[in-house]
Amino acid sequence: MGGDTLMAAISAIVSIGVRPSWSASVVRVVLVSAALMVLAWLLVLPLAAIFAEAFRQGWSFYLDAISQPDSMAAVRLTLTVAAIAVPLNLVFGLAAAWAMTHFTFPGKSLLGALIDLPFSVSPVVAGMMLILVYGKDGWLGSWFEAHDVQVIFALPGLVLATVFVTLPFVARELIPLMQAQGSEQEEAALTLGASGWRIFFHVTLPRVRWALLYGVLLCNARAMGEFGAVYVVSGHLPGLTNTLPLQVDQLYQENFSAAFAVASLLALLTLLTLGLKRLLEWRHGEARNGH
Amino acid sequence: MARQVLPGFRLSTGYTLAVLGGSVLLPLAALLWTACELGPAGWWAQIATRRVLASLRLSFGAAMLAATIDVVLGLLVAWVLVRYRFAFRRLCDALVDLPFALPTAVAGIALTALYAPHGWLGSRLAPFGIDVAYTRLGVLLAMVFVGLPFVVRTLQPVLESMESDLEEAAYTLGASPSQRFFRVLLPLLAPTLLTGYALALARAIGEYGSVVFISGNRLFKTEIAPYLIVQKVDSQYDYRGAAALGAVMLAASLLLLVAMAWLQRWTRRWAVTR
Amino acid sequence: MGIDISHLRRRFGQFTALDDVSLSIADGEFVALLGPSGSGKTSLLRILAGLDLPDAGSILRDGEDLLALDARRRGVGLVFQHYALFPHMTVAQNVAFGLRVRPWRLRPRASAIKASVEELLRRVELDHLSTRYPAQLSGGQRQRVALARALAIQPRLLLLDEPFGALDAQVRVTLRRWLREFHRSLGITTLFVTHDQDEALEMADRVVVMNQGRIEQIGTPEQIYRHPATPFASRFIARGQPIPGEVEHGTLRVLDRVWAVGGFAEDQITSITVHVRPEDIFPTQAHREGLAARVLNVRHVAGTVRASLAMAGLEEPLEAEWNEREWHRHPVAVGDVIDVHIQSLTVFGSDADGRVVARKEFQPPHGAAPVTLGPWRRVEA
Repeated sequence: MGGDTLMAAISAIVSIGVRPSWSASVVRVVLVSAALMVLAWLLVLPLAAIFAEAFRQGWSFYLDAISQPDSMAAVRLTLTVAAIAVPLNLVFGLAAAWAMTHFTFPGKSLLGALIDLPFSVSPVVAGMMLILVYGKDGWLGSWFEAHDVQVIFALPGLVLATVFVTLPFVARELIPLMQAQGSEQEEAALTLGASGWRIFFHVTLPRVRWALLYGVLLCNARAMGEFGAVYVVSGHLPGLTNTLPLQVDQLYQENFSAAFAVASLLALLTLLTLGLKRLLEWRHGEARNGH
Repeated sequence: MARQVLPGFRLSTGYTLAVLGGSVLLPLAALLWTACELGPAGWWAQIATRRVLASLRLSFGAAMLAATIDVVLGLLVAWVLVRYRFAFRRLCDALVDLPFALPTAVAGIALTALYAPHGWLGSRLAPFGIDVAYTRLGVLLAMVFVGLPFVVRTLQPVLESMESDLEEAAYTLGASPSQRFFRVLLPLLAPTLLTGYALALARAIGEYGSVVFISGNRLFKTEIAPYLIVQKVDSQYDYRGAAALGAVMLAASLLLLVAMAWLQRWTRRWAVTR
Repeated sequence: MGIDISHLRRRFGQFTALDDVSLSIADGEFVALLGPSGSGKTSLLRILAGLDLPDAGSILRDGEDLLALDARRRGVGLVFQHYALFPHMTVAQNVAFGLRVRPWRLRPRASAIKASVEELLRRVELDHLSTRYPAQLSGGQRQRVALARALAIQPRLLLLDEPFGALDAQVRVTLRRWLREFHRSLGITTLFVTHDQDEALEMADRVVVMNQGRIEQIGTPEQIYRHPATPFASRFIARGQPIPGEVEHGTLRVLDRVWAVGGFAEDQITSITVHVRPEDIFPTQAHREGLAARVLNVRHVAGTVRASLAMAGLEEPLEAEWNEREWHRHPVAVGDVIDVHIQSLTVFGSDADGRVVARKEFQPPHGAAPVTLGPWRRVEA
């Protein structure tokens, strides 16, 4: 594409909408093109690279790569971990939001800070901290060993690490929304004689369901894609404790194209998540900003 | 303490504390305990090796630079997304979340493939003498990548709520475009920009997956602090060394958290009640 | 019988919401809690509903301790200021909620629930909207849904929090009348919170005036308007305006006039407050008796005439109010210097703690007292 046609294409893309003064539209064209270039360079290129590398050696190679036993085992393990960690955090998010928005108690703001904490702790540090508690020489390690439960280098460790890094997702969506909605409807239900569970299922839950779904969606994406924290606690044994991201890492050392084939599965999951997220935001704007 | 009127107080706080306790508080306590056991001298002995200091310098230095770049790029992207209507705007808006949602390992190998000497971009940059993959520049690039959505997503709602009436007010008062930007918008956005900076910084300092592939982990050159922690835990079983380094990282996270809480109070002071 | 509230206290940190509040409400009574925001009226309502608990004090209903029952079992219907309708339920589902959530044993059959919902919606004149969602209703309709929902549980006490606060003026007036009639037909003990004097005086059998967590006065609308017990009640309800005055040895000195007042206990008084109502200030033609006043402005508002009068010795102008007919007899215009006669004054004497210990309504006699001239020049017509 020649420079002229490129410029024409850019100004065609950019000039849809209102037409203000000439100098303002120059600023506009420059800013929009710059932003588009940043996004293309920083975001689109890496995404394209994943699929380009994955299909470099053709479809049959691709299908072969993702249907290897180790890769399939990684898919199964990833789904298992997410199936345990996500519901756990779903309930956690609901409980935390209920506690944080309907009651006043000492230490409430500290609790709020603790709920947000995992977002700012390095996943690697999180994994290491779990080893210090649940590892062989850790605080609770000997107790678990005595009861023949392996936590680190096994499924429980993977779940714990995943729970840690995804802990704030659901709570973070729910707390601001429920705070904005206030306790009035719950109080109304209470004066009408409803029990706690009734209030929760019939009054609270229907009003926060989209925000809840949104939180679960993000929580799930992170749970399936977590690398650093899981890497530390898994021991990365192929076919046994390798989740999908760990399998990508493993394959990357051995078989470049196969690594990208498996990675493309995760990239697809990401695109699906982003698409659903957009759909939720578009259909239920109130789920994001509840006021 | 007053009795709580709505039901479920004990159940909800109980479950919250149980999950927090097992997965966050206990590990946190273990880290602090292990770090304290070392004592200041022991801790310093673990930190003050050439390798560890180099990694800390790289992690913090590159993260600060990356967060700064993110603030500039993020302001541009957020501004354009909020103020202008153009084709593919929605798609671009959705794309911003990509670094947030893409598994870090996948992002890491994708960036490496692009910028490797034989990669699509790497081969085009090589003639100019620019090496990205397996250099500090690569580390910086990966950190810029993961931090961008934090700045954009922090700025967007604020820019939206400001709409254009503030600028229009400044315009009617006779301010030039650059005055409107530097005198009105930038000061108003300052706390938000700083919050975005802090979020991007926190993420960049702790980032592992996106960085370790493109960094190449060359001794003293491109080893980041999280990589050293993994090395100490994974292959050297040096938990005390890992805890010493982890304590430094944790302290940085907590400091950033406090800074963000303070920034939030600052922003709230300006919040116009509707 | 009815409700007996005694010595209720509630603090929120440094803020005292209720300070030793005692009140008895008879069965079937329609009572207004009137006060400015922050006066504690909503706190009292929430405690009655079981949504908050007092720090001290008791509430008995027919001798039964109401505070021992949690909100769920109290049988108190509460209509929230912003209605708190469940947005994801239809009008009928909202009204049926209180019946559907009853424990299995006490729950009416589905057909019985349906019938009583229909009956309630007919009573609030919304039976044609039963399948709508709250978002599809007007403010007045939402309010009546909230009322029907609260009544569905057959409460023994109905509480309304600022029932007309969120409505526009037109709807407000219509609904006021409607609610008054509705209460009469229902006969249910009802307590409503408002900061609007007109609303309280027009609707309630009895009005409870609250200020800063305390009850200032309890009485019928007429009693409270005619004989306010405290300077606050006088200012808030009867639009009493303070004018400077002194009491000494049986004489009252107000605006350069000295009158003898009998029956005013001066023992514990440390300060006095003199209030005059707008409608007690009359223009007079007997010039020798009047007080000079300059007319600052005159407004004609729906049958009444309001005027601001600047008077000697007063920093703030006094507001006077007459009906149109009276005004036609003594038409005044902006800039006129007229003579006015104050027909009635209320004098409150307070002790060192600010409690009213003596109060006297005083009718200054026509032309009986000595007159001292103020800085205003008297104008002979």
